[in-house]
Amino acid sequence: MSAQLLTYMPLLLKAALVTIWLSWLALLIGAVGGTLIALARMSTFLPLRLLALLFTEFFRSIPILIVLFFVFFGMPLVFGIDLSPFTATTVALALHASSTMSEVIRAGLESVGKGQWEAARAAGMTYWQMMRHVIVPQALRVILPPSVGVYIATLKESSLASIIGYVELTKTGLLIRETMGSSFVPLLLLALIYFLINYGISLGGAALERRFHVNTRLMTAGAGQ
Amino acid sequence: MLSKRGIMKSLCGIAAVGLFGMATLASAQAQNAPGILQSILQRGTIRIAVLGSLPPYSRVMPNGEPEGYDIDIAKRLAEALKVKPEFIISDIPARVTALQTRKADVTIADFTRNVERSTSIAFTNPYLVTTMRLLLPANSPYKTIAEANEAGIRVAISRGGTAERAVPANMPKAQIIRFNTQADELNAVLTGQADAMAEDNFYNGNAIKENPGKLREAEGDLARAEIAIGLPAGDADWLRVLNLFVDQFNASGDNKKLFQKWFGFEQPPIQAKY
Amino acid sequence: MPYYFSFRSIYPYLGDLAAAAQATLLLSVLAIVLSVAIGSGVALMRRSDSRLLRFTGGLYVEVMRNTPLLVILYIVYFALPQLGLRMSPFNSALIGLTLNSAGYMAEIIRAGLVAVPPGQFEAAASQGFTRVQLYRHIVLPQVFRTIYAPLGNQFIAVILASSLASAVAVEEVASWMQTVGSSSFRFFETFVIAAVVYLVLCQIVNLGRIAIGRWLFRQPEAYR
Repeated sequence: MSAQLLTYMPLLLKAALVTIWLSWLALLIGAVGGTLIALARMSTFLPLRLLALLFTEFFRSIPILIVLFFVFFGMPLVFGIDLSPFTATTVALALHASSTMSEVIRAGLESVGKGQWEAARAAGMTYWQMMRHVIVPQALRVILPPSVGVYIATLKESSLASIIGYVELTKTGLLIRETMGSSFVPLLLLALIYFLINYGISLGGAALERRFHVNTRLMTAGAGQ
Repeated sequence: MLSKRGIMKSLCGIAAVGLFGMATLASAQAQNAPGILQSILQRGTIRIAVLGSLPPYSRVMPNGEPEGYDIDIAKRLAEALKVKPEFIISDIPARVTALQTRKADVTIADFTRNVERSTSIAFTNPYLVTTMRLLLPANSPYKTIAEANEAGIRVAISRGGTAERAVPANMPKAQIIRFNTQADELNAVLTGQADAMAEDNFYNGNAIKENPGKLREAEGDLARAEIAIGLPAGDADWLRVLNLFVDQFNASGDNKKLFQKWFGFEQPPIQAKY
Repeated sequence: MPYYFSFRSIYPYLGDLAAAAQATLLLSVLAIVLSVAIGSGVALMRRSDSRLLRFTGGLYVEVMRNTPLLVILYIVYFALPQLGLRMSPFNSALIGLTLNSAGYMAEIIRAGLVAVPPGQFEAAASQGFTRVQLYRHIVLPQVFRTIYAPLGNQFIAVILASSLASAVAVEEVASWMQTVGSSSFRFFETFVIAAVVYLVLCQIVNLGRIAIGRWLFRQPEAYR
């Protein structure tokens, strides 16, 4: 590693924190959105179910790049809302994460046996009491481990923000490449930083899986972008 | 999932795009924005779209701060309006959308003006006149653009830039490879992924200087370009202010000084000789 | 100035769109086929008796699952030439996509292999099956059933991921969107059109998977 690259390390680390923070925010919003969509998908009201289905299928069939372009360039035009690159990236990633998270959360809720829902109702619990005391504690065991996978996917997807010019980890690496005039070392270093962050997170996920005795790798399969 | 539900889901997906397209259409038509000048003065900041990797016009340093000739012009403009500059780092496609969406109040980004473009955005008078030329590796066997054309070489260009027209017009046999940033183009030439790139002579001069012994220009011109400040179309008042700024910036000699600072030689005349 | 949609300005570019959609499809199909091959190899490596092979297979999967595709594409196209490895944009993108997808494919196939009860391996061995016969007649048909649905999802994921090939100069649908947008200055029209193209491609794959699945696995309700 050249001395020149060493002087850029603080910048890269700072950019890595931006990337981690950005995707964490997107995941949290995605978890909230995903919960709402999962509940809508399981509702008894048909239009609500259809709407939720539309949402998930739409974001499953559109590249994140296009979603990002829409949010960054389209939102100000269509709704008159001007978004900074940071907000635009967070919103785009959160939209995509909501669609993935809704499937994860639905699987979690459905993993709780029908009998328990009925038993809770029979015991005179309200909907919220039942959710809080019976369903959610059990569903969380199934939901948490794959959420880690969604976080990693979101973190990788955040690299696309470099295309709309937001200076996160990938863009910082590319700018350093320009200043250094050489591609090889900066790009490899970039890959290594992403790997270390994501591998660290996935170790956390594996620990969760062991703790809750579930294997979830397949649930989050799919070529992350 | 191999069932009717799956098919249903598919149909839903297709319906979703239709709905969403119509929603976009409907809401995009009904909008009316206030004057740009007014909103700049109210906000106290002017939002300027610049390119991230076109030294010495502009380049973003790894710490995220932009610098360069275009950046200094932007700072002068903000100073003249007594507001703060706020930079929006964009690439070739984004510098246009930034104006169309009014994300940016102006684009100062080595922006070539022409009639086709001015149907959707507006331009000021030019502050620079450049020539698009072919940048080659120093050891390339081709002397002139005509020779390079005959060989059918791979030419890297900016996606959607003026080279989209200029290169096929002058080099019909060349194979075009499109990139989003000039940095990627230059990288492709330096690593042998492209045989040449088409960029303006001032950029080329800088690239040759920064990569000593590796690059040179081919003989011959691809296109002449008038570089101007871009702004959203339909705001005559804002255009009036910007044109006055550009005229005085040119006439006062400030432009010449800034050019000398960033390019290291004297600025060629801006007026065309007809 | 409000923005007025004008799809008419896009008409002249629709011919290029057909070529771009073909490139997207070709890139995705080749990447899927190649990644099934590489993924199978990696999955077998991870079940091998050799510790080194297991480790290498595991490392490969982890690296590919934890590195952004965009960075991998940049490395293949811009960094490898510095080692003397030069490829066209299409081939670079194909290699990047394949390497990335194979990381996921290996896990999908491994899950398929795990689902085959170990007793069957022993039973086949005691019946005098060779290794090739064992895989050909007993393991593969079962693995195929297990991985059929995830394979379809992976296909869709690869189509979407191929949109990043625009960063390394491949002329696919996302490149078309950006090029035509900047040439015609009609970005939003091109966004909408590109979104529709991806949606249709993905849903064709989805419907195809369902139809073929129905035909392949006719009777057992369990596989629906």
